[in-house]
Amino acid sequence: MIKNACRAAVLVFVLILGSTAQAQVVPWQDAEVVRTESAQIQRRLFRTPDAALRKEVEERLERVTHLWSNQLEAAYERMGPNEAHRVAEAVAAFAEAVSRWDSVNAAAARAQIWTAMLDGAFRATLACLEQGRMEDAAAWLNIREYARTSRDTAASIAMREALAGRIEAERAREVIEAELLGIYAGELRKAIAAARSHLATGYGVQLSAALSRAIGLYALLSDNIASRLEPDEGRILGDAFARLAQASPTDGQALHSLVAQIEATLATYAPTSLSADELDRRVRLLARFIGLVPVEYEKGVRDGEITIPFEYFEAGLFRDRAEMLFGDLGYDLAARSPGSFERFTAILAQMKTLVADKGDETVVRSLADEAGSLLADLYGTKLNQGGHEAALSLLPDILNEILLVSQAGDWEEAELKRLEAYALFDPDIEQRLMPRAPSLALKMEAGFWEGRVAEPGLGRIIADRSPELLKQTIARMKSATEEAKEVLNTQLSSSGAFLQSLAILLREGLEAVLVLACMVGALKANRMPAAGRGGWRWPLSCGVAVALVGSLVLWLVVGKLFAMSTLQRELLEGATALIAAAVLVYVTHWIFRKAYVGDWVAEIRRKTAAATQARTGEKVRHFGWFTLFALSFLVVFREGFETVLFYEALLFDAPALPVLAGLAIGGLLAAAVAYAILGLEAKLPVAAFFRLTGCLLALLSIVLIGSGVRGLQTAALLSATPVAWFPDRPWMQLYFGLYPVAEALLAQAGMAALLLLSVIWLLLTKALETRASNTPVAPREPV
Amino acid sequence: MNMSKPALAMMLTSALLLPCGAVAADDAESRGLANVKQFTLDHNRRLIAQAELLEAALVDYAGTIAAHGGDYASAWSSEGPRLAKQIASIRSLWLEASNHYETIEGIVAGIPATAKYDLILDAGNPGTEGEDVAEYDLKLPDGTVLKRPGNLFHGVTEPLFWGMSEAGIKLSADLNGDGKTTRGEILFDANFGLGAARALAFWAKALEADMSAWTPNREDAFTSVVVMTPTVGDYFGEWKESQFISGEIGAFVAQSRLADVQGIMGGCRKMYAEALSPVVAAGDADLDSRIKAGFEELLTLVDDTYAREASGAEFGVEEADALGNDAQDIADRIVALVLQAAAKAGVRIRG
Repeated sequence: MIKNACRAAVLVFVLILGSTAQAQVVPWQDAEVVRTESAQIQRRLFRTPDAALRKEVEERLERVTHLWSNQLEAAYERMGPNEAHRVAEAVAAFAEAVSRWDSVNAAAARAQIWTAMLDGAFRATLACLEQGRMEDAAAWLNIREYARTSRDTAASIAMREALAGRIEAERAREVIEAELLGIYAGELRKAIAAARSHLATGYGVQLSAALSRAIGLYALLSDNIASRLEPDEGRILGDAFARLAQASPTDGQALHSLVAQIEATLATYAPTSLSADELDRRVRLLARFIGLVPVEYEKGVRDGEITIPFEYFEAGLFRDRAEMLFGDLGYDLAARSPGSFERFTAILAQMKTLVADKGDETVVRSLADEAGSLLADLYGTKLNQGGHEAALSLLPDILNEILLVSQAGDWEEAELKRLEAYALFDPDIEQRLMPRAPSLALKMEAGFWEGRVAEPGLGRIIADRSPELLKQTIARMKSATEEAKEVLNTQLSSSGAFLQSLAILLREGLEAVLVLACMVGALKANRMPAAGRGGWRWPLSCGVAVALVGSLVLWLVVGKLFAMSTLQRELLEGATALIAAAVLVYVTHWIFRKAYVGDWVAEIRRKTAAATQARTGEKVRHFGWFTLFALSFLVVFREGFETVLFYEALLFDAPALPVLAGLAIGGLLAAAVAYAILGLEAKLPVAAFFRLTGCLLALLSIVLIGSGVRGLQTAALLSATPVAWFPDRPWMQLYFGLYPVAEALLAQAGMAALLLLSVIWLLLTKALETRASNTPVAPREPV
Repeated sequence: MNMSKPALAMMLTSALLLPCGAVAADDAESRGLANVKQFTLDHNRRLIAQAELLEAALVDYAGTIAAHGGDYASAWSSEGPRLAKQIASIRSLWLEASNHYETIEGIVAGIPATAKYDLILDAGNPGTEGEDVAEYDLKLPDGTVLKRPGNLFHGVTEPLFWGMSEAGIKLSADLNGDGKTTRGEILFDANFGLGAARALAFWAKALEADMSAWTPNREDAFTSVVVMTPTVGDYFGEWKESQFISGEIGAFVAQSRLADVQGIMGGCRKMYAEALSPVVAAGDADLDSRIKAGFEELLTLVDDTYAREASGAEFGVEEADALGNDAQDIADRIVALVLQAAAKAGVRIRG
């Protein structure tokens, strides 16, 4: 047994040794040492040499040449003899320059060494991947430059995944090639810019290094450049680099014009292209982000002060996102219009400064408009519109980011991203989806907040910090987004448009019609005059008219005079619903009192008799002008603004005539309902009518309080606790305000109890009145 | 069958060892993070102690001036040597306090929860600037409130104590008694100085409170290294522009900016080596060794340059520029490598 264990141990040891030996085939660590040692030497060349310094430099140089000759050269020879030859020549040139303490030529040779080594390693990595030699490819990939600004890490991850066998070598090769080409193209531009800067300051050593680095990187990229640029441009660039290699470092004028020519030609070079779809997607997103900057900024900043920190943060975030997209699109933009490319760059930079300084909102707006016009000119207005297409395209990305930041443990950031995603969903997707697929819209909305017991929403999951649930919900939300995309991309038929228009009006308008009809019926039954100062017609008409005009005015001014955020709109809806519910409770109580208390006939007679003296002062006191006005205003205004938004959204997708027909028929149906209720007033006994309308209004007040609480929850002012026992049906939510959420249901139960108590109290009062009427005392005023 | 037993034993051992390795890495990371926090708190406490001594020295100085009814000329003529000694003591205490802060600046500024203290204490701009403003107001003993005056070390106290702020100079005085009054030989505004010293002690204590409350975590550690390491180029730029290179009197007169670079980059290296290296090495030992080598290269460059400066070496303008560019290049490379490590560890960098 022990013997066998020893054998196994020896076997494992040999395997480990074998794998170590295999990793040593590509001595990338030595390449690192060559780079750092040569840099140390270069720094010392600035100093005045003495014996000790010379000795130190010689030792370091010896190390560099030794490592190249004995460790690296053979590996490079195997993979790329040309590059090996270039490195060898550069090492010799470096040694020669160092021996003469010639810092300018040493700097050039040092840059040649490193860029030629990068070139060889790049080609070797790709070749190894093509041959399926993953370990070698991974080792060669260690000799590289890394993304400085884009922070790309895809190549490292692709290599890791390929090593683990989770992706194909070919796929890894594509990712690695694209990232490295992008990095080296960026480094080439950077080297040229550095050369221009050193040319201006007259720093000869650094100029020599920058030019040599640029030439080396050009050699690395030359095949790609030839395939990506127009033949003429490629030739011009090739000539310019050839002349650069021959130019004297002291000929400032010639160098200056060569550098300028190279910079101009490189502005339109990108090592890889986006597909047409990807390009469209990015243009849409760029247009959308740049357009969102002033929207958020105007909400977040006033007169140089932050008014809403979240909106201010969003403005910066959208600008940064725009810049990231611009980075991807820059080559295409530059190819289409170099002038626009430069202007866009300047706009983004100016916006950054303005946002950071909390500068003038109007300037931010005009810059965004200018950028939007530039995009529209270059890519057409369709791509520039953004809207729900951009939002639908962007939403999955933000959902992924939520997952990513939560995995990194940054739940606060995840919450911000959730709100960012909701801010995209609400105006652009929900408004369009609600008329066409209300159930999906509600499902998605709940998904952004607390969700359901079985399917918790993002708000709750992020608050509870549950990574596993988050993953599932994100997947569900992404699939719902796909579903929404399908719905919204499907052309709406005329009949569909008609039905949806009808549904909007019935859903949003019926509630108001019911309340108003019940109230009018009750007032008529109470013999309250319609006309005149004390009549109901004037306050009710005023309330409805002001609400309709108010809804339209609010719709017009939002986005023009001031911006209203998603959460503010939810708050407005929630708050008006709650106030309407409160007024409705008062009205319901009044109606029940009429239904259960007192002798109607006697009271009406008494009132009629008193009318000439008191000018209906009693009614005015109990059911005043303002109550009628407020209730009619609130029930119409609550739905009015949203109805206008829904119709606006519907008209985007649907032909106008069927929509208008739906609106008209819906209006007629609502009027018929009102007529039927008022007709009941004539047919039913007064007390029965009051009981019926009282019950109807009581139900509506319960609906309103549910919608109001829900509105405050979606405005993030109230917490929400989903419950499993209550049915989760979109129609119950849409038409009856019954949400499977504890707070809303509790408020509704409280409201129902309050109304019940009101009825019980009224019944008790009636009993007391009856008893009192049997005793010989003077009649008293009704309560 | 005989061979299968050891094979099974090997598999079981491996299966046991793999999680053990992961647990060991986690332990090392936790220990490292705790060490970094402790290190920061230790220096923070020394900073507080030093700031309190500085405040006491300012009380003495202000007392001397107040004894002469706030007449600086009268105070100087009566108690010149005493005032000169007090100012020397104030400057020396300031240097001590500043050095304690610089040692932990890389960590303080890199942790999102404490980054604001770096702006207040050492790096923030006055309110007149557009960005990176030190968000505090300075209340002076006479009740004056200075709105957003800039960071306390280099924006307020250093120019005040060394006479680089014209507004703070009350009297030119031959502090070293060599018969000449050169620039920097001054009596400064005692009211301003005392208020600033009190604010230093106050904010150093506030930093300690937040640093104590900070729960060390991997994300903050990564963010700290990624955010602070690339600032090396800016510091070199300031060093280049400072009097040590250009010969002009400006900011950073008390000591070379390289001392700050040393402290900050040392902090970054400490954060990486103690808190992050165990995590990175567990996933990719090569990457870890390269990041460590990068920090060694960077610190060697900084240390060598500082040592040369301290020994009186003169730097040419291009050499200083090249050193800064080299330092930045190495720092960029380190950050790029750390970002690869963060991506592999699934860590998102903030900021």
